[in-house]
Amino acid sequence: MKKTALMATIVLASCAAWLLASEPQRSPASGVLIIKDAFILPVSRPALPKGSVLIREGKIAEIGPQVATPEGATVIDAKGQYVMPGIIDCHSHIAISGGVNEGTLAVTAMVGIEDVIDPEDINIYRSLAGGVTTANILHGSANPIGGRNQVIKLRWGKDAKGLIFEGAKPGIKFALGENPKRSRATPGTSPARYPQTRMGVEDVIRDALIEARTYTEKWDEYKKRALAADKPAIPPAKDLKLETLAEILRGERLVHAHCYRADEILMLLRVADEFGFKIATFQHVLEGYKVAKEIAEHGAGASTFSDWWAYKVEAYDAIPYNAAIMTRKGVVVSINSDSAEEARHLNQEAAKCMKYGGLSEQEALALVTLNPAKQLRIDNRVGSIEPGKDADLVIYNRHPLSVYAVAQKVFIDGQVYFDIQKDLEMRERLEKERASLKEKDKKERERERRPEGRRTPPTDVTTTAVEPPDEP
Amino acid sequence: MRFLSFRKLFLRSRIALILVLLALFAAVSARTEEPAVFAISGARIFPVSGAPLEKGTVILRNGIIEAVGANVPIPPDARTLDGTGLTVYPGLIDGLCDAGLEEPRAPQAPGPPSARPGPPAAPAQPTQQAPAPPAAERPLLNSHVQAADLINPTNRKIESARAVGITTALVAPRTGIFEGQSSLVNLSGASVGAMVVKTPVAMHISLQSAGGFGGGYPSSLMGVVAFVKQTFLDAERYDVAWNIYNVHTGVVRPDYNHSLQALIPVLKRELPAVVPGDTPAQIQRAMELAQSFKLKCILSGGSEAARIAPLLKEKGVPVLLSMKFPERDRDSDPELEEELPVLRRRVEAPVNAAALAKAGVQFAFQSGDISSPRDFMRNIARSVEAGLPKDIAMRALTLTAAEIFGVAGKLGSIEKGKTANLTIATGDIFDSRTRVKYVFIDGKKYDITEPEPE
Repeated sequence: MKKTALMATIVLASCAAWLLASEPQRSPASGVLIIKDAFILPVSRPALPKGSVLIREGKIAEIGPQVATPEGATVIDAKGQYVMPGIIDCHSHIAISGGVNEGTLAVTAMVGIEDVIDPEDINIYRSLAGGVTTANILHGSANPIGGRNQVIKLRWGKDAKGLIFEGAKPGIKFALGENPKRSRATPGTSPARYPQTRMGVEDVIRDALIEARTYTEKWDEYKKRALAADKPAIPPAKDLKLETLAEILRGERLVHAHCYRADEILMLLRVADEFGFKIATFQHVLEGYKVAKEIAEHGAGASTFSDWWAYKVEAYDAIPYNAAIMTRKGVVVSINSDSAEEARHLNQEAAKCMKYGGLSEQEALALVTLNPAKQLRIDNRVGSIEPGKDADLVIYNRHPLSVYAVAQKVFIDGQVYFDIQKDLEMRERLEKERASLKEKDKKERERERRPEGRRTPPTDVTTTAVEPPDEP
Repeated sequence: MRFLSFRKLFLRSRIALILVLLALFAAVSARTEEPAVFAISGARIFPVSGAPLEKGTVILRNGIIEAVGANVPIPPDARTLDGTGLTVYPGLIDGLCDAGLEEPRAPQAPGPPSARPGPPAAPAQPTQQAPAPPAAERPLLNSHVQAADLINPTNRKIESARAVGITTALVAPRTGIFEGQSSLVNLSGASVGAMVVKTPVAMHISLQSAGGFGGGYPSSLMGVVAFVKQTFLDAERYDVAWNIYNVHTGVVRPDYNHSLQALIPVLKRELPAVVPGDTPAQIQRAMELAQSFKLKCILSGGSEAARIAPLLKEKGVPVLLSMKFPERDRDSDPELEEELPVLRRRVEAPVNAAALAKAGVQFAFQSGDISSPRDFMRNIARSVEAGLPKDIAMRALTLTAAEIFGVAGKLGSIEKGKTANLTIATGDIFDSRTRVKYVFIDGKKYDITEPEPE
């Protein structure tokens, strides 16, 4: 069993590379595509037991029980299959190169995930195979104010820029509780970093925001003086960290705050109120059910796990009803993965919230589609199957809330980025390629072993400068 | 002074005598080091700038190529080197290495200077976040450092590079994120002053993250990118501030900062920035970073650059192509299947250069992280076997490199008036049996001797 899993991993990894080497066939973006006779789960409205989705130029053009097939349209017969919006993972750390945390300082708003997207991370493809089409790529939780996040679409095969969810509102990671306060000293190089308590976390955040406010004032004053132009003035230094923080204060940047305990959630709500901005999402938020009313009043979203807890002290007081309770209290709730593995079955994670808390099918599906879209302020583009929205869709062989559901085709912008049938064919090709590479490698090694093929002389060589002889 | 004892006087005179002798000796050696006139005759000549000569003569005088051709008369004052059976190339140029530089210092981590090993001290009190240190104090910012100032002419690497026919190398410091400015040097092992061909050539930026916890900011790649951006922003403002100060009266004088000052020519595109990248994502990241400050950009590394060749071609970004090919870890489990991308990178490494050449990307070769210059030349030969045309390989080693570094008028081909740098081999330099026999650097001859193979 384990061996099979390992094999599967290897095969999947191989797929990745092949896809990069030559992009799979995709329906052209400008093309017209119709998915016919499927069980449709639009999420924004009740399910359609038998209907079709028409896609035109990467957008959903029409949805209904009777959709006329335009001439020349590519027809996908989805009889007996299920279509739902692409899954949106509101908390992910895939596709990051060179470290998820810049944890050396308590505030690292100057760094950003957008600079380090790795479009070749195999986890993109694996998430895609699990029906995920959009992911919120977050900085880690090592410090109270971390780096800027980046919302991406899992357009596997495109370059880093091609993954960016164009127009998604920018954001930043905050972190409360144990992670940001557990920095330890490295003997000889660095002392433990402040803060070491939850009080300190609050102080760092308030301090940073005050600094950003002062920074904004300094620039405003400079601009006023520059306009008056009575005297040349040297501009203040542009500071990437404070620029980012100033955007939070202006409401131009969403805050995604890692948190667990009710007290720290309330703390951040107070700080946000004091500085006059909104928290977009509380992440993990395992004690969210205790303060759901306050979260709802503030208008923050909550992005949590279905049943993942007790991995540390602050994650003990968790219940599987968290998502359902917060939903009932009026919070926009999503279920996220925070893990490249869990990202592959977020539909099942959503289904658990039906058992624990009695959410409806539609509500459960919204946890991984429409709700995270709202939290990320991209619900005008994705999250449900509605005319005008991006054609980011998943076709499952079973109802996606069933444990037997396996994604068959995954569309982003109307293009197929995962196709289980093509994947199987690809594996064969990749095995062939592997065999030929190994053969080539073997030949090269053999040649290296032959003495005449060896190019490196076995001994050292020396060079000496030769003085020209004296003139006669 | 007036009461000098005899003994002291005696001592002094002895010192004086030694000094006089030393001076004489220096004068003598200076005279003998004067480049003589050389004529290499009857050799196969690859001028690179033109068609090869099956049998020709090259005349070198005072460190300059005086003449080259099939029927060049040998001047009476020339010392003749019979080139029969030998092949003459322009001196080979290594596009980036650390020959002549002593081992790089370990990157300094900011923090208390208590780096002495020993039992760990009691945990230090957590410190309130310090404000970002001013640019001058950032230990990773070495933009003011210039390779020419760090070269040790007696460094052994210079000799081992010469042994494979490399006469010239771009040498760059290797500490920090802003590593410093490179210098193009002739590997003569003479004085540094005599070695330097051009300096500075480029500003070298590393995007290597220190990694892990501990140590200072930045520890992640995104931190490194932010560090580079912030530093360029600081340099831009530094320039603006000084301009305002210089033009207007009544302005408070900005602080002088050698690291930011050194970046102004880079911002003004007078000095190119060498940025690293191997995978397409890394290359694009580095190029975009350079683009965001409108820098003149040279790519270093490029081991998978063929996959993104059209972009490099379109943007006209030259590549200092690393000839370090990935190797299978010797200690790895022989049963373990390599992941396909890893296997592909390793087996297909020699194909990269050929594909770049086909796409029309301008490149030179660098020995970079390769410890042995022999492996450098060997991997170029492997690239040739994998389809890289020999003339392009040779051009990359000579004239293209000279073009990238802005010295094509002086180096890179066997032409009248150019620097007398030659690499003379027993045959085709890309053939594994060929040995380099002589190199000429600034007209000075070096014999490459090697023990008979066992």
